Amino acid sequence: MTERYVVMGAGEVGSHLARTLSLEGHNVVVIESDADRRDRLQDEIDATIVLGNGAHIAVLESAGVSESDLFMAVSSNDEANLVAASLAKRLGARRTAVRVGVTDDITVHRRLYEAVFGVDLLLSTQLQATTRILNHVLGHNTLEIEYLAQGKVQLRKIHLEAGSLLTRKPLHEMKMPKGSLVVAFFRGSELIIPSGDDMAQAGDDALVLSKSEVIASVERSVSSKPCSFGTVVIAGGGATSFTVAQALAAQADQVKIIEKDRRRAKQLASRFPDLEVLNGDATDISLLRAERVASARAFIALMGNDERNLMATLLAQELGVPRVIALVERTETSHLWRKLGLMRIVSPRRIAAERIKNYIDRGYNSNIVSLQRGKAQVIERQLAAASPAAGVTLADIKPPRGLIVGAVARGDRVFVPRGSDRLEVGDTVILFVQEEHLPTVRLLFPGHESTQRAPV
Amino acid sequence: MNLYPPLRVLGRLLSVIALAELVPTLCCLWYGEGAAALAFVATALLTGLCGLGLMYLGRHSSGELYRREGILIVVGGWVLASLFGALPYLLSGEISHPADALFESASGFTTTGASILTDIEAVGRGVLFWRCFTQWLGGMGIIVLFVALLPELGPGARFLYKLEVPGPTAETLHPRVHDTAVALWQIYLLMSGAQIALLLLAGLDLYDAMTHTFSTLSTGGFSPRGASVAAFESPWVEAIVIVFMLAAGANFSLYYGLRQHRGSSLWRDREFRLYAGLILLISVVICGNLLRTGTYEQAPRALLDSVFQVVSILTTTGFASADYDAWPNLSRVLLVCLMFVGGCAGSTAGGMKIMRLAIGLKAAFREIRLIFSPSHVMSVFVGGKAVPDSVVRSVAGFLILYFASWVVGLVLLTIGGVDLETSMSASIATLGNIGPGLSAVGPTGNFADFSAWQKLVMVVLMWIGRLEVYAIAAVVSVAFWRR
Repeated sequence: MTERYVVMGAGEVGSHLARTLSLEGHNVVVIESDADRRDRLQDEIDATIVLGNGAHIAVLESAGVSESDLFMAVSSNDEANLVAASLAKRLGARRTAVRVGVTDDITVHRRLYEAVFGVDLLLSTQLQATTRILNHVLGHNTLEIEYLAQGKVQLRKIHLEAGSLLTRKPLHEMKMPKGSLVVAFFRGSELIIPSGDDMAQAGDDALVLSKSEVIASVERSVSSKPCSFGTVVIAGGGATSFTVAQALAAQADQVKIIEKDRRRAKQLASRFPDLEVLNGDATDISLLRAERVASARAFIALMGNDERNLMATLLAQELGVPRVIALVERTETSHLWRKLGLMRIVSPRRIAAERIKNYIDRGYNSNIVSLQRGKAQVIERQLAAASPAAGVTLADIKPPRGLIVGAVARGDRVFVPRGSDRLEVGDTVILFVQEEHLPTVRLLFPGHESTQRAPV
Repeated sequence: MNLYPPLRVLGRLLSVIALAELVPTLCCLWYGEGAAALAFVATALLTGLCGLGLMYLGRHSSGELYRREGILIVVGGWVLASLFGALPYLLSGEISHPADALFESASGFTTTGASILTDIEAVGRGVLFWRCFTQWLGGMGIIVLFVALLPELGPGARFLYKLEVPGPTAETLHPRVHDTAVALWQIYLLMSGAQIALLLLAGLDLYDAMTHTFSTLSTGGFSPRGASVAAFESPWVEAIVIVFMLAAGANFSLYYGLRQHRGSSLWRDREFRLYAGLILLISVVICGNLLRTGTYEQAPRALLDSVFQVVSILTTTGFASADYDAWPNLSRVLLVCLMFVGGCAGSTAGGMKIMRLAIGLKAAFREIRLIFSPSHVMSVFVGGKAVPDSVVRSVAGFLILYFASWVVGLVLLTIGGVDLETSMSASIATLGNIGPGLSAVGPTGNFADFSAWQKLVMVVLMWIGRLEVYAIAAVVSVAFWRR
């Protein structure tokens, strides 16, 4: 079936998407504000290219967003992307997908952004890249992350390899960290809600709900990798570096960031105490030697410049760092990199493009919140005074199998409730529900469907 | 520099002080001390007139207050308050020498609590009330009081407030500094009311309850009794005073936080934990020392006395419930060390402040690290929060100037032949706004034997300690006066 897509921004993400979709035989319109780039693209891609700013209504109208199945705002300007998506929705686009750079806003306020701007899929390149980097560094297999209860709770889809503990022990023998819960297994297209005696098979994906503080140990126990991890050196002190460093701080013995700009280095050094910030050039081998980078377990180059990243990772490899990861913006050269021996390449834009493509291929089932085409759902609810569940213990509610109260956020505290725990008015509850129990949820927890997109 | 705006503001400040000088009149009349009442009325009139005079001189100034003018106002305010606060002592005839009167008055306003009076209980009740009342005013700060009473000071008020509030950084609780000052005084009044009520319950009369509350919450340490708090021979009174000294030595913005969210913000504050931990540790060590050396027979009494003395010295109050100068040397040395530490930032206590010492120590550790790892970029973290480098610099400068002041004071006080213990402890006891020291200036002694000019030196030390060095140092620097 031929669909109509509008892509705003013909950078790395946009042109990749436009090219792939157009090759698949769909109608693609690209909005690009740079005339030179438009001319170049015109020869490469079989698509209409509209010159202009996508945040302006006239441009959107001439691109025909009103008949589009999906509007993708993937330019490098976060704010313009959000505004454009909001306008496109009003003008009649059926769905919108927006790429932004920042991470924090997405992890904490994603739902609000989606509601206000009418966005169906909001994704952060930085967040995607961070997840990929952490997988490489720690040997985890996280496929997707969903942030709930303003980032205090995470839902992670983790691929299970043959060695994983979950494939060797039944669930009730697993000692999962406090505040975490295995919610479901995916086996092929099948969704399994496990009981205590169930066991995963190698190749399954596990869906794990966990407090954000313990997510690191959850990953560890699921993927059964060594607990302590030596020093990790990060070259470059940008926003991605900081997010990566923050996530690694709990697991690595020491995280070092090498940043060339003294002001930026100072700024980083004042963010949190466990971080070791070095002021210097990561492509300077004498600095790497003096700081004993050779003894590090992993080296990550995130300097925002492909050539410098290449240089630094080559040096780190030369010094004998076992795991070397580089962030690459220009994806067309990545095969050259692999020839040089750099095995781990992370390309944030390529990841974002793949993620959006994935969204389309899965029939616009954007995230793990809505699972297996609606067969199960994760719902976040604030407990109203009128709810019959308010002030009652979980044991009294007797939720049926297939309805799991996964986590409760009360004020700053988050916990996985037991039978004796009482639900209070104002609590945010995170429910995992199979389709047939949706009416029960409506009965027990009346209120907004917060997973539902607010009409705009 | 434009001298007129400071003159006008100082004139208004004097009229506020004149009003304060009328308060003890009531006390004099109640106890039938007619002459003293007259002295207070005369002082108030004189102060008020001088205030009007200054306001007249500065009548043509515009409202703008820049930094230099601000510094001049704060320093001038404290000097004038001390000068005019000395008048009641002279006019009532209780103290005859002007230097002595100024010493007593400065010791009051700066909440030092050092005294030149040899027989306190021979002095009239009204004058003794004034002594404690000046501490109460100076505790929360006369500039903070002034900012609270006069909202029309404008943006310059923020700088005045920062100069007077103790600690490396002055937090404001409200967006407007006037509201902050009002909130601080509200907390102060509330705590005062609570302590007066508790002391009344413990069996004190209203006069004793009020005067002791004034000098407890301001961490001043004046007492109308010769034997200080020990005069009541009541462990209850001592316990109440301990609790309120502790409260006064902690950061007042924490109480504001408690009032706002009623959470456990007290324990989450790193400085407060250091403060409580330090008190606990030193009290236990001193208590053990007292019991082992046989200074005390009974453990409970030893514990109460050591806690009382430790809290009293650390919060720079200077009350005594025992003659700690007769204690073994280890205990005396530890108490002198505490004199240098002082209370928390944003409290009514003196000393160098725990926060500053923590920042100073962490900064020193950073330098050690940088010796062998020069490309390392580090921030100074206290309680999980990074301290800006500008604050670290200012703290380093403060520590050096503070020690320099102490050394100069120590040398000047040794002239005339007092022993080293006396001069060392007298210098820090006045600089740190504590009050009693060791030996001749110990809890049973007093400062009467110093010569007149040495008393003036100590007055300057008290001002330096209360205004935390920089403001006073700025006023005496040449560059400050250069056009």
